[in-house]
Amino acid sequence: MNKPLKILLIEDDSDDREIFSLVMKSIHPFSETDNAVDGLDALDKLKRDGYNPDLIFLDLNMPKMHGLECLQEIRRIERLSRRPVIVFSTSSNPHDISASRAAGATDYVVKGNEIATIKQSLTQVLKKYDPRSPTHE
Amino acid sequence: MNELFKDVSSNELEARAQTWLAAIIHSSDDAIISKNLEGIVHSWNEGARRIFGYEPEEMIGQPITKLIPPDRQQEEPAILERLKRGERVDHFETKRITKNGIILDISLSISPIRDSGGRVIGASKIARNITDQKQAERIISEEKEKFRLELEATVQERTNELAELNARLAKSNHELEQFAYITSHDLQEPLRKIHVFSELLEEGLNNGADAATLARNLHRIKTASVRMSRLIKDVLEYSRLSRIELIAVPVDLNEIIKDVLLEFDLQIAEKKAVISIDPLPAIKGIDTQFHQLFRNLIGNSLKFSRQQPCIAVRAEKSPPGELPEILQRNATANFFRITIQDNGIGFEQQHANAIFGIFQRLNSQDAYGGSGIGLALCKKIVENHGGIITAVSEPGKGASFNVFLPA
Repeated sequence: MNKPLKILLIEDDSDDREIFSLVMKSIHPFSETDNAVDGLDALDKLKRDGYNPDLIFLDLNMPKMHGLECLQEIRRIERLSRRPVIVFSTSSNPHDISASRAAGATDYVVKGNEIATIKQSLTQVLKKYDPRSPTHE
Repeated sequence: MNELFKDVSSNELEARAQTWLAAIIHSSDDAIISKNLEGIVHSWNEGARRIFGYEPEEMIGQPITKLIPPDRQQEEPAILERLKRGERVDHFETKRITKNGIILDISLSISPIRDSGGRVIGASKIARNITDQKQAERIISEEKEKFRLELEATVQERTNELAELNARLAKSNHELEQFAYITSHDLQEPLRKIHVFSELLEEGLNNGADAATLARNLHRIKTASVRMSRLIKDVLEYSRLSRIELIAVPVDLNEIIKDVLLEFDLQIAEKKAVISIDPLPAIKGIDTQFHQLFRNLIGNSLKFSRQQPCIAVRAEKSPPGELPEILQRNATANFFRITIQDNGIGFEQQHANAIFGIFQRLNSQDAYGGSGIGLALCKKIVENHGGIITAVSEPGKGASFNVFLPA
């Protein structure tokens, strides 16, 4: 069978980490979500050679290091320079969206207020960026 | 016989007419002077004597220029020219000089005297002393000017006041907008959690999830609503700070600190915190706000500690040279600098301004609780009292908060 889909979620809020895990598991049972609690924690993991998530989800407003600063650092890691990094934020501010693209984000998803909305956005993301998905572009 | 009487009568009439005319001239208040075309005085009435001080024998046969001040001597030739042409001079306002050397304001009316052939042979001048009138006019003019300047000054003052009020209003509006945006944004977070965990709870109930899972979701909902409620309470407290206009009185800060430490005595004992307080000054202000200020600062020092907290509160008079630039504008005022220093987790100096923003937190909600409004409140309080607050820190090396307040 296929290897499980490896996901890294960079998110400081424990509730949001739990919600993400639950939703992701329900739409893609063969996924494994690893968590980093902030930008520094994430870079620690990502700098290790064997560590290779298929998809990275990134919150913006985090303590110690802003999401976009972290994103720029991620892009400096050669093997990750083109890895799908999806910004996953509560902000729907157009400024944040364009800043994210400019910093190298692959896509931008707004955290919904309802499970259904979150399910829908994450399903879309997987369709577009899951390397194992039959509908992957 | 009748001829004789007739002659006597017409002579008598003429004499009486002359006497009558002489009396009119004599009794006039104004100076009535006649002169020939060379400007030599020919007649000098009682009015002229009273106004100019010269007796008739001092002026008759003298040039009229005796009455004209040195800087106006050119007036006489000009007047004579006009007279020779048969022109009158009407109410010509000028100055003349008396026997005592006093300069008077005079209104002159001059008419040519003609002989029976119609030739101009002299002039008759009527001079009215208008010195008092002129003086009164001058005073009125001065008063008007004074009044105008006062009015302008008042208008300028009012305009300045209005401009200042407008600026304050604009600033207040801007703060309000920012505040509303930040607040509504920050309130979304707990609301979102409540919603999502309610859905999960519902799902769990429908799918027969175990009690532990259900309890967990319920707990998340509760903590989120507690967070929301605290946020709303903080927002209210912050907004109230801006609105209250209370009268400032001298407040003994030593008493304030004592009360604040009492509030924290449980935490202090638990953490085995060491607190040292210098003697503090009395500062004019609002005691409840000072209490909030120090409660937040000392509370932070206790909260953001990793080991045994050591907190020092010091106070000193701040010489103008050492004041932060923004206070140096007010060069004459004296300030106290009160420093709250701790040995806690500290923060990066680059965030030293950001931490005073509303709901700004440098650490995650999970690591250190709190809505992030504490320092924003401190800033508002200190600014309410005409001071400023600054922070100095290094990660892992504790933090110093400097509160500058007017002495």
